[in-house]
Amino acid sequence: MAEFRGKVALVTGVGRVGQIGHAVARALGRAGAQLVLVDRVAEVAERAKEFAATGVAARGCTGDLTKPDDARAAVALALKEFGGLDVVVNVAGGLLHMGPAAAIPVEMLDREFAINVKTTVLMCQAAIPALAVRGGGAIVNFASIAVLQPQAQMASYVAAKAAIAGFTRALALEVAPQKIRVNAVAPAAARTADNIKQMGDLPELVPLDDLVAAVLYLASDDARAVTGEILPVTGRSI
Amino acid sequence: MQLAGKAALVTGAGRRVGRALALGLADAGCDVAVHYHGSATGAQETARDIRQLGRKAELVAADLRDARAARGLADQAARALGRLDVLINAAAVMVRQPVLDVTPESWDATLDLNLRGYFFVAQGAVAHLRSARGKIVNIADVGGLEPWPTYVPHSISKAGVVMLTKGLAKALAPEITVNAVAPGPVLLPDDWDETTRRRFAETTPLGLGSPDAVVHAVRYLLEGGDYVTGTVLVVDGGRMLR
Repeated sequence: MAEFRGKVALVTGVGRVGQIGHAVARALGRAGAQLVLVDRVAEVAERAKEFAATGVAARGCTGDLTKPDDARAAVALALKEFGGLDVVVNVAGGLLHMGPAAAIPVEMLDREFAINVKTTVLMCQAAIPALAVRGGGAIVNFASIAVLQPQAQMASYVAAKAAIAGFTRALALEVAPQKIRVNAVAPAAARTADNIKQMGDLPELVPLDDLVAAVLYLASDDARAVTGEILPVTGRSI
Repeated sequence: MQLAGKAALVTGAGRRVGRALALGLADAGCDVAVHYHGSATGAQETARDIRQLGRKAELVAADLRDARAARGLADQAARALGRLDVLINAAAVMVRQPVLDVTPESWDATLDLNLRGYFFVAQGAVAHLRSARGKIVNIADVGGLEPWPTYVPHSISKAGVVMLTKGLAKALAPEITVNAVAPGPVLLPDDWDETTRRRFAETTPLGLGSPDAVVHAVRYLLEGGDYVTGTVLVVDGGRMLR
């Protein structure tokens, strides 16, 4: 299937094993990509070392992607270490607020948008010039199935993920002339270590392998005619 | 799903995207039942090329506008190949029909093949696919997601394929996954002139595609999409973004 030999991929949210970012990075590495791993936690350096020990070229980059300089530094690391950038997967983000929409504290709203929308937008902004120099590339963002099937008691998260979906489609249109494709996956809750801990080992949790397969398809040249797509990965029809 | 050693039925495999899909699945290791109706020569060429890839190819003929023939097609394919794991519904027509030119006959010719045919081929395949925990991929069209004023019956048929996909996905879970690919301009109609082709290329953000793009999308849904059902994957070079 998807082939990434000779490509450089930057993945955000790779700090912790058992989470989506780590699974995506591991699969890209196995498919031949050289990796820049980004996270706000310093453990990302450990992840890079672990990948290197398995023969995958990987560099860790600690940064706060709600800051433009940190996003630019991650791209600069890819250019310095691997000479370019072909693929960006924006996994970093998460669900913060659960509760009635009418009572979302404003600080929580700001934070939810910052960790989901701002990180994605800033990473894309930083990466686009580098992708364009290579003659094109692929960005895969993380929306959520909640964008297509809204859920109650998590409105700020749904709104933030909807913003990512909207940004994905708008950006796809804007950068198509540079042969940069921009898509998003829209998963249901995934079988991550955190989700299993919080929700229990529910059968409907999306296996990480299936989520990874969707990301790798969209990131690969196999999807060269696919842009602006919000691809559900849910285990059920929608 | 690992495709090596599996058996696939591809309808409309004598030409265009159906042919590319049959060859793409053979390349992935599938034996293929090559369905055709009008394109016997093309189907024979498809079968020959599949055999050259080292896979088994069996020709299965049927007029899928005939619902009984459509319902019996999977049995034919399974008998010929010894099993059936994958169904690709691709046999369709795309006929330009300005609204005032549509006749009951031209309407039926499009809807009977493009929509009713898909349903009854799928219905006939259910028993085989259930036991194999198989997969169905329907080839829809972006014309089923946006209105094309001179192709209204075609657009309706493909919009029907989108709902067929979602309905079957729910009805046949968890044993069978059902998804669709909605191609954009990956292979323009043979009779389009150069000016129209150029206009399409210029108005598609990523330019014109190729049938390979559809093959890759179908392979993703078969090989990587075990947890994906009821989804319509748009492969249109960004055309729907305009």
